[in-house]
Amino acid sequence: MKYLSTFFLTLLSVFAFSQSFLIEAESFEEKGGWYVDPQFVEQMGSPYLLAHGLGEPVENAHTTVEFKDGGKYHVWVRTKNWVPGNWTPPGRFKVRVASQLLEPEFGNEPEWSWEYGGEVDITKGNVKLELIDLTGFDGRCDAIYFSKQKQAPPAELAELGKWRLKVTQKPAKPEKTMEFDYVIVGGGIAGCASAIAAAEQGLKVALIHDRPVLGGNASSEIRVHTLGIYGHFERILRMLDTKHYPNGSPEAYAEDQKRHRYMARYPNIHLFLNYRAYGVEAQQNKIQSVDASHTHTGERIRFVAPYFADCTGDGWIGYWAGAEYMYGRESVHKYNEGWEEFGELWSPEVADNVVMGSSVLWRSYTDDKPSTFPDVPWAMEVAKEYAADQGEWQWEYSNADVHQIEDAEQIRDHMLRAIYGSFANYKKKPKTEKQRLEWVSYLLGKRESRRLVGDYIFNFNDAKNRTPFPDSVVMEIREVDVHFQQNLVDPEKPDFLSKAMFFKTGKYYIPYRSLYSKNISNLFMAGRCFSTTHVGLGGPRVMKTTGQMGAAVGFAASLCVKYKVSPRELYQKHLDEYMNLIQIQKAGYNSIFP
Amino acid sequence: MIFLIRNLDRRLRWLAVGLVFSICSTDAYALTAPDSLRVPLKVKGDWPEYPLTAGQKEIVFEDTIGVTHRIRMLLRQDGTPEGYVSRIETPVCTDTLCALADISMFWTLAGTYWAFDTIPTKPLTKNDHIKFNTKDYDKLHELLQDEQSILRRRHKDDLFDKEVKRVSQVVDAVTGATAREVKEAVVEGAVYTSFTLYHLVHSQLAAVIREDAKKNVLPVLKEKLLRSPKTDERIFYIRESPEEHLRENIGPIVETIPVAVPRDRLYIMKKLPVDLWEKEEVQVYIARKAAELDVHSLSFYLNQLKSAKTVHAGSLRYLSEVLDGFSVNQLRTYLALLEKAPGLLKDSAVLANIRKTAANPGYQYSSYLKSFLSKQGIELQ
Repeated sequence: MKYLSTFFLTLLSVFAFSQSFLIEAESFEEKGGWYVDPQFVEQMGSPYLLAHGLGEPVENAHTTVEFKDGGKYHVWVRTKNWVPGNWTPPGRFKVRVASQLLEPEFGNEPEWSWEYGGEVDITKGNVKLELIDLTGFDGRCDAIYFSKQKQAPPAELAELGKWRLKVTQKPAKPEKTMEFDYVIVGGGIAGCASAIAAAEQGLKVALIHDRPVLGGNASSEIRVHTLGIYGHFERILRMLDTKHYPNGSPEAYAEDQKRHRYMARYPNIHLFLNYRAYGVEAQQNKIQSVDASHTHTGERIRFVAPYFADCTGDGWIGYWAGAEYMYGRESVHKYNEGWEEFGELWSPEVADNVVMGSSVLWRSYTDDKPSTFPDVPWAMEVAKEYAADQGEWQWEYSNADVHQIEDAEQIRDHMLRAIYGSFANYKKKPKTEKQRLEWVSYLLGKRESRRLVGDYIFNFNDAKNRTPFPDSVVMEIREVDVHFQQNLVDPEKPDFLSKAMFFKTGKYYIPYRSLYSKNISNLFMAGRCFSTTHVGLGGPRVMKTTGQMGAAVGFAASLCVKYKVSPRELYQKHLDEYMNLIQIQKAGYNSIFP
Repeated sequence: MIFLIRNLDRRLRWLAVGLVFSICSTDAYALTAPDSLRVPLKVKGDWPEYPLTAGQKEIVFEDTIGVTHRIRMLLRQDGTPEGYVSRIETPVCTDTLCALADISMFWTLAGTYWAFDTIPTKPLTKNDHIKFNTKDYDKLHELLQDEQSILRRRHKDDLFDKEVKRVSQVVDAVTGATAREVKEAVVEGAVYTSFTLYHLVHSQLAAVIREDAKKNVLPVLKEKLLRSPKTDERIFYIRESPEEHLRENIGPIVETIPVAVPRDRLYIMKKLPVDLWEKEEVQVYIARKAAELDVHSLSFYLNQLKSAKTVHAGSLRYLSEVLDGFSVNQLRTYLALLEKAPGLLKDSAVLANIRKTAANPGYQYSSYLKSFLSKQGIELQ
């Protein structure tokens, strides 16, 4: 039955358009050792398959396509050489069509583009397609296109998007519409907490998440442990948090299971895993719906609701809806956020576009038998002489040249080069014969990107002075912790390592007014995209704190539904009731969900 | 007084400054003036060949544990300030396991670490009164040169890993990592000495020195600071000077960019008034030094060119020589700048450099250049 349903979905994702077929790689029936990577859809156009084998070729991915018409077809493969240079491209793979192995190796062109695979003879009926990884070093395949005409699909992104809709004969509007009381986009700790809070108050909740597991940075896919305090929401957050194991630890798997187990106990949380939001409908500064697409099958759903929460981290929902947002570091003078001890590293005199970076965590282990690690000449420009056998939070990349959203793939790939190169150096040391790579994340663990503007912008002084707010719904005692790249002060240091600056505070508070959009009337936000300055984000960006934000807006959403008011009106007209609802959460913190 | 000094002939100014400090002197302690000081044991950068003495005037400062420090200016024979010096005599731990640390510490006029020297017959000691050896002094010097050492960000109580005995997989890696980092940063067996000296040098005494320098050095030694071989002194001047001073001294300020660390390069470039970015000497000088810039600074510079109303041909010409060091975003910005100045595509030097880089198989982004040339209807060869 399972096979039949996946086969059916595969057929759905194979679109006949005259004498042309587009097969999205992410819709392959069997992924083998390839991963679906949807992180960069907004930059390159689609989820894709990634052969992330840590230097060992991964198992083939394959699928079956029904050709209604036999004959000669030209084949193009959309792919990319992720490290162009004077070496053999690291991410090479081959494609087999039925029994015909296409002559070229793919993964040669430096930008996402259609690489021509030659002409194949196709017999009418079901044809097996296969992706054959050659390296284990992150080859990537977005789609395969068959056409009887020798005309490559468009290369330019906007044109390609239109072409995709045309060739797949998809209407502009999603095929399916679903209605909810409250739609949350992003299933990190903030999104999950928000879903639980709202569900407990009786709302019908949709939680849309673009990964197969919940937890975001805390999930087993990224493996950052949760830090911070529980505030008012210990009961909820204990269902979602992690133990304080080392970052990168496989103990994260158990925490995934715990998280999913608890979430499953709420029948009114409708979980849409592997759905990635790609747009919103907004009128008069109010969001009507969010559209999301399945990252494997391409199935699209329109989510309609009176209230939405942006827990995407990157502030995508707000961005698409036209919400005001911030990116970069404010001038030290704007909010008076200076700290003489660290000067420019902490808060610059002149505003700039630099933010804290993204991490890719990794680890190795000591095996029973010796092993070798391939030469990685394409990684050495980044790693240089640096040698390491694991990577913690300090493995972080940011600079004035890259944007954490627009250049996310470049950042991830830079980190992969840093990791593979550093491990190759490590393996050249004595007594490392048995050391093997165990796990390298292929997902970016982001710290900072867009921050949506709310009615209140939380800043460093609120933490330093412990500003009391009438609508304090989140609290924290963790230091304000801002990072900088080590090579800013010592050019000899690798460009992928950071340092942290800690400003110790007492308990401080975040107001509810920082958790809804200033100009989109029905949009909440929780997580790193809440309304804060760059320095203000330093403390509350950790996941128990962002979980508090999520829970706070989940409860707020329930009262907004009850009174049919906007998030702002809730603050203006029903603050006492809201704060009572928040306060009483603490009372039962010892009784985790029954 | 400062007003009077400002109006003196330049050669007399330094003498006057020294004189002022001498007049204000009230005490003589440890560093006996006017004997010239010996070259310190460890020096960051160069130590002057001419003799230096410790001035008579003392800045007296009591630190957070109640130890009184006396700081003096380092002076040339003509009275010109060259830096600051203090003999630090301080306890470093709360028990009797370690002896007092007794050492002469030197700072630049910007209040950053410059050098240290031992006191004859009083070597620094480690746990159990073991004397520092040569490697220990090297390590201390290395630590003191690191402005952003882990010690700066840690409290004394956090120096030792309280979890060190836990050996399971669930050991707190953050704490563990921190302890490892501390161990790597300090002189082995002298954690508290390292910590105490680091914080005195970089925080408490440095702050006092900077305040003094702002009052007593900055107003009278503009030229010296601005052309100092010590980059931190130039940055100090740039940081503390009003915009009109930056405008008056744009040459030496821009010349500081390539020799500073990336953080300071960015700082200088961001501090330049917008209209100065239109000036040819600014644009072209930085372009000429582009090969020496880091990714942060080069990207910032290219973005400044993008925002400028006029991009001078010389800057694009110099940049074309170093394209093979550009990131993909930097290359895109450069090509966008070229598109705005199509005349330059006929410039033989620019064209030759682009062609050469496009043909370089070792350059990651050569295909961008090829497609750019193709779009412009220009042959690769």
